[in-house]
Amino acid sequence: MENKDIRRLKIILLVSSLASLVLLGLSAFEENLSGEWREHQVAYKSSLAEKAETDAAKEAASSMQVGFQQIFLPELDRVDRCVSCHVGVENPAMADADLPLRTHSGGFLKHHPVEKFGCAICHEGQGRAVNLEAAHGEVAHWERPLLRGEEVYRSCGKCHYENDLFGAEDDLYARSEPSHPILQAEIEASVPGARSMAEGKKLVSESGCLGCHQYRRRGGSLGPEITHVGEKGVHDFDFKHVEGEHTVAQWLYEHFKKPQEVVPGTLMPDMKLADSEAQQLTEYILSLRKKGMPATHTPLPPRRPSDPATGDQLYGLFCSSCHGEEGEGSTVRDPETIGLFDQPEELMVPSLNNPDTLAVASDDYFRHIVSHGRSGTNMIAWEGQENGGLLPEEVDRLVSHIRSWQDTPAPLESVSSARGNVRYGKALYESRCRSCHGENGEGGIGVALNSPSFLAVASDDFLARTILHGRTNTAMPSWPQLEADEVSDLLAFIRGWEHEPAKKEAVLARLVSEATPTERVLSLGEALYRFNCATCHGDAGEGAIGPSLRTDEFLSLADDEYLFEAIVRGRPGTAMPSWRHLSADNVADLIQYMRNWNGGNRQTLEPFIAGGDWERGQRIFIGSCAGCHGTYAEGAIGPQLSNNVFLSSVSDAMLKEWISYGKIGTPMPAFRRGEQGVTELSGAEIEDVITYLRRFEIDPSEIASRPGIGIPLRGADVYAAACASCHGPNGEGGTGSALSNPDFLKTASDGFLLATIALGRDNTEMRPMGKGGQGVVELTAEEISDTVAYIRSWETAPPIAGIPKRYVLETKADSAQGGVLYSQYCSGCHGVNGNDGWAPALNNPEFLAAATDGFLQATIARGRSNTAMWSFGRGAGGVVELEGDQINNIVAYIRSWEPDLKGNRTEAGGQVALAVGEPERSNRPPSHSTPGHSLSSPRHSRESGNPGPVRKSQE
Amino acid sequence: MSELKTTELPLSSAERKPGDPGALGEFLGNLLGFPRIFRNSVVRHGAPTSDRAKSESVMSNFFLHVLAVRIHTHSLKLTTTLGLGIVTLALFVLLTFTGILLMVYYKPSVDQAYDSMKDIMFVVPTGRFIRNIHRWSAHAMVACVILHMARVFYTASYKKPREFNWILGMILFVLTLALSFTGYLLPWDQLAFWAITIGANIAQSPREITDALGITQFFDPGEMQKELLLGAHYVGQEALTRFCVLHVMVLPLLATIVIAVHMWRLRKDGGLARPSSADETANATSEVRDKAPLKTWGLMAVVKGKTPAVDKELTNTVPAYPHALYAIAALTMLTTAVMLLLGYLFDAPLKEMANPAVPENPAKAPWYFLGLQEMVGYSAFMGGVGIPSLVILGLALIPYLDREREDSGVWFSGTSGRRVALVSFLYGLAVTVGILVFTVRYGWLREWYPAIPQLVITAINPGTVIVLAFAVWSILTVVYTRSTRMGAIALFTCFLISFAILTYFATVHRGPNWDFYWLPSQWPTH
Repeated sequence: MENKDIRRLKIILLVSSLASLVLLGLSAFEENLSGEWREHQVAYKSSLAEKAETDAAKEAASSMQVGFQQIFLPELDRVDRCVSCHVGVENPAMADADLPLRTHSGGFLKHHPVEKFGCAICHEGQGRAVNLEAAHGEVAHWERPLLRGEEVYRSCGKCHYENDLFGAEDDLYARSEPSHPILQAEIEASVPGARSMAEGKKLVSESGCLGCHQYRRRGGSLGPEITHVGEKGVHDFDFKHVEGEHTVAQWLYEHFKKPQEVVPGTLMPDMKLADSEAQQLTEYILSLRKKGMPATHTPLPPRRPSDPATGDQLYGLFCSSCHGEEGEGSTVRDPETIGLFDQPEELMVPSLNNPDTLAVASDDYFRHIVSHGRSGTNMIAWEGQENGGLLPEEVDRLVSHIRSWQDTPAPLESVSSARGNVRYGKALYESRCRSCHGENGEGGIGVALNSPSFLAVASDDFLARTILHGRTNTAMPSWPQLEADEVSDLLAFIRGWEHEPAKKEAVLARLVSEATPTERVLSLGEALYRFNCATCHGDAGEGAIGPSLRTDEFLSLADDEYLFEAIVRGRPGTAMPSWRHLSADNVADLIQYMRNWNGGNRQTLEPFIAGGDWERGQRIFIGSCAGCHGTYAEGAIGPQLSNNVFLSSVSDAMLKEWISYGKIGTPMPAFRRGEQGVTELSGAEIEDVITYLRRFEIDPSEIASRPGIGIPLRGADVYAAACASCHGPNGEGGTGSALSNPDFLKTASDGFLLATIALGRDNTEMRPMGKGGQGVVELTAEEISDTVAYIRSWETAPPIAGIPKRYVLETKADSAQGGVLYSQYCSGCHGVNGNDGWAPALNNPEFLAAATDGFLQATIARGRSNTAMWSFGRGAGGVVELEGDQINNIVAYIRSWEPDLKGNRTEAGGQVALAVGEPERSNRPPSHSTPGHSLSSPRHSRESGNPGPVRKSQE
Repeated sequence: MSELKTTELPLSSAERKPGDPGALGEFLGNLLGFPRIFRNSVVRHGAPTSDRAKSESVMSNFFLHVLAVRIHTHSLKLTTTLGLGIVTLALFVLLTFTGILLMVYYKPSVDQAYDSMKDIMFVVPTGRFIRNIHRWSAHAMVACVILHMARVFYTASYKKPREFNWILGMILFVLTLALSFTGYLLPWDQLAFWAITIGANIAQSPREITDALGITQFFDPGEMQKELLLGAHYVGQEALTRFCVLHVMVLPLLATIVIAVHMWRLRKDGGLARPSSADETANATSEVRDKAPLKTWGLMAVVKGKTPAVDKELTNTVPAYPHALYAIAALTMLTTAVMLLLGYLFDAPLKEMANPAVPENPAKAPWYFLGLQEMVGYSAFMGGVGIPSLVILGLALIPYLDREREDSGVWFSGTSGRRVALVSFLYGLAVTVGILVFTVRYGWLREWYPAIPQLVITAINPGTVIVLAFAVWSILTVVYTRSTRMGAIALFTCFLISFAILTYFATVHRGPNWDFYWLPSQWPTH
């Protein structure tokens, strides 16, 4: 056996040894001698020799060593061997050579020398590899294949800052520095090849991508963060539904084109992008890389212009994807029902540029919703680092931007009830006002308008301003879309509820006819005076709130016409109402009674027309008169002089007389005499002053409101005792209307307040506080002034932080009945629980904190045009028409969802925590779960299964 | 060449006679004779043409004298060993060589390891080839160790006096797995990272018991094991350093020592086990010594058992040189050639750089641990610690529990063993496949009773059921055949087939999330 066996073994040994030798040799040859790069370098060498013209060049060509080349970059921790093949990359002579020998295109190598940056830092691929496929990274298990053509710009974001959406710094927020989004100028200035990336950046900054995706700690959390999304690799994506090749770029592209198909059930909306746009977006998204390169290789962060992002830019960045480019609203997918086939998939996003929204929603409302979000919906809280990352001032700018969509209201000066058309006004009233103010202005949700004493006090200006500007945070929305003529028509209609004023001729005729009044007339006049006038002018006409009437200077100079005008037309904008409901006889009786005070002494004056220099008059007025009559003659201690009605009824002669000789018994001094420190005025100077005063007739725009003369601190006590029970401790409103409302305070003059307090408002709960009786506390004139001053002080120092609430409904309304109505008319869209429908969720603490009762009332009554929110106050188009009480009941029901109803009363704005545990759910009144509208809803189960705001991110 | 000559001793200068060429001539003679003198100084004998020379060449050679001077013809038969031990050793040597070459370029740091792998792949001359050889040899070595163990078992070669060598073999088995496992991490790619993560989690599996008992916070042996393995709670630089030190120094050193002892014991235990019948069937006229020995052997050692005693067995032995030598050399070169071919044809995998944030799905352990991973899926503790410990312990104890005096060196110890092995093979196949099919199709206790205590699952899971079935089978075999050897064959066969099936199943049929798939091509695209 031996020899045979051994021979066999020898053969095996020989063969396997030879085989090993051959394999070793083969592999040594392959790996060391037949590298692709070697061929390229040989080709390069011969090409060099061909191109060489000078001897030196020929010498260089022939002396070129074919050998392995690499760029070693220790500071970047990179080795790029690309130059082994791309050997002519820096040689300008190779510009027309074929790849891989061709010169690098463009002037990039000037700023990025190969020996400093290498290749793969921009071009990606596998710098360490030396054969074609592996080096280009187009092999399995290499995540970053070669970037070809313009794709290479995706790498710029590793070092350059131009693609940052805002702020180069990561600690922006810590330094409370407002961010800077992309500027159009940056796009324009982009490198030509990077244009599509810049366009992509523009798309991101205008499409509201950050509404869901966070970038540098700002943005929503519904989608994945995109700050460094370009770092993601193939493994971070699911390619199950991607049709094209499995690259990140392809995934993104298809995803942008058809989000639902690539990621079934995603919240990502289909933005209907064109192919080119999707491509641009892909390029941009891929450029969002981490900046991890050493400072030696990165440019300095750019110095940005100091302008912070405007509201428009912020809206584009954060809001536009859901609320629409122009705030038109949209529908978005409901994160909670994704994957549940039998439930509505879309949620309605409120439109913001809707005139009704803008009219009803106050800035406070917007600010609160933007800052705190609306839990249970896709609307997240935006303010604060732990939320959407907006700074408070950015929220303000956003709100201003939203507000900018509102119409500018017509100028008040062009509104006048006298010019209005009652019939047009009636039509307008029917469609716009009736649902709240009642068919005949008797009031309902809104105040009673047909109250004579209200109309007597409310000037056209007051009414027009209220209509055009509304009352923030109350049920009175603004109507800026109404033309001046339409407002005039409305005013004319409203004024139609006033009494016909007494006829001047009739009064004057009676006064003329009875030169000496009878005893009866005097007693009638006294009674009238006591009942109507004494409240302000004092029992004996000595003056209190109103000026003193019982001076000889006044009574002897004021002719009958003057008195008539003063009584019947009042002094608009002051506490002097127009006494239109007094009959001609009554007016005559009153005048007779007053005339009797000085025994009917009358004085006739020389006719006089002032023709001085009004500018000098103004200077004199400010020096001598403004102390009492106010800088703009708006009245203070002294009566208002810039009053139209006053100026129209007073003659220059009367003015001259009063200025010259004063009014004895009142603080009005005699300026011709110049006693007791009063600057003496010459006749010419007085004439100048009168000329100046006359200007107010011509140009009423300068009329300012009259500052209070009371003492606010004292008024606070009076208010607490007499007013707080109806108007709320802080004037936030109760059964009475809201007084601390900025719009109300802006609209209502002190006179309005004085008169309303003193005289009350007929047909309403507002009692005349100056008259006493009927169990009402009687206030002295001083107390009323103090109260007015106190109320006025709210204008500069709002008593309530945040959004004032009026829990009027709590007392008046029946939330159980409201629940029934809600389930009938509202639950179809808003969901049985107010947070499970497709229409905006109502039952979340943030919304309930932001929305005042007035907001709810007005929204229900008025609806939102062009949305699915119908007007329930008008009841047109098959929609049920709800009574004011019914609306109130619904509001009370909605309000009953609010957690901690009582504790939240006055400080709702600041108090709503973002806590997830929603106590309001257990607080619901039992009426809520009455049969028929509770468990039948298919979405009811969501309540227990998915509590809390949706903050989950899409995976 | 001529017979070994007595070397002429140079004369001292005093003895030098006149007429000699003199010292200079002698120097020149030495210079000319240097190659011959040098050769003789190294090998000290002439070409081994005679038995004596052959013996001497073995005796006097440091490397060869691990072999007995003469070797039994039975041991040289291919069917006796299938050459698996030699192949394993050859692979070990090959791995050592290629490993040293790789070590020159490899940088054991998490930042540089992957890059240095890429450099080895792309710019180190023949680096890719060397790495491929290393990789495939490593896998082949694990396979060969297992096959070698099976061969030793089935030929009953573990029997007295070779019991301890079996234990040494078990140690080498564990060392081989450890070498392969530690080497797995070094490339620092996704495959490495996640395979080691899985491995570390298997080490952590006693937690299942401590968790179930609620004592993890006081006593956490699982975490201790894992930390010991990784030097941290996760696979990172510490683990890499640790694995590298183990892989390039500690484990090879240990393996070398144990291999040396293993082979030394092989000699001392009387060479390869062979049946008593071997001498009868052997060709008695194989080779006759051509001459009386010029020298008698000194007593080298006293060994137990049947030794190649003078006269008695000479008829059935052949000189180790050249018979064994050529066999060894041929096997070694064949192995080398096959490995070179594999290395030349197939690239070793190198996936993306390790990224703890991107888990591989499925993350699979090295193939030899996949059977364990499959069982870990049933119960972490049982699959990761319980059953493997039991198997290793059981294997180690075989020579001490089966002490029947019967011929070793016979495959399956005869026809009855062959039958037992076959039936056990079918039984093991049926049980394992049955349990797998059942589990895949119907789930296990957790799916039926979600609230069941974990301890119950730990005790009763597909893995333990299989082990129990095998144990019962083995006991029945012992009872039925009245032979512990038969019981051992039954048990070993069952475990071997089960290991093979589980490994295959986990390799091919387990996909993402450890779900069942017929083929990897059916895995959901990701």
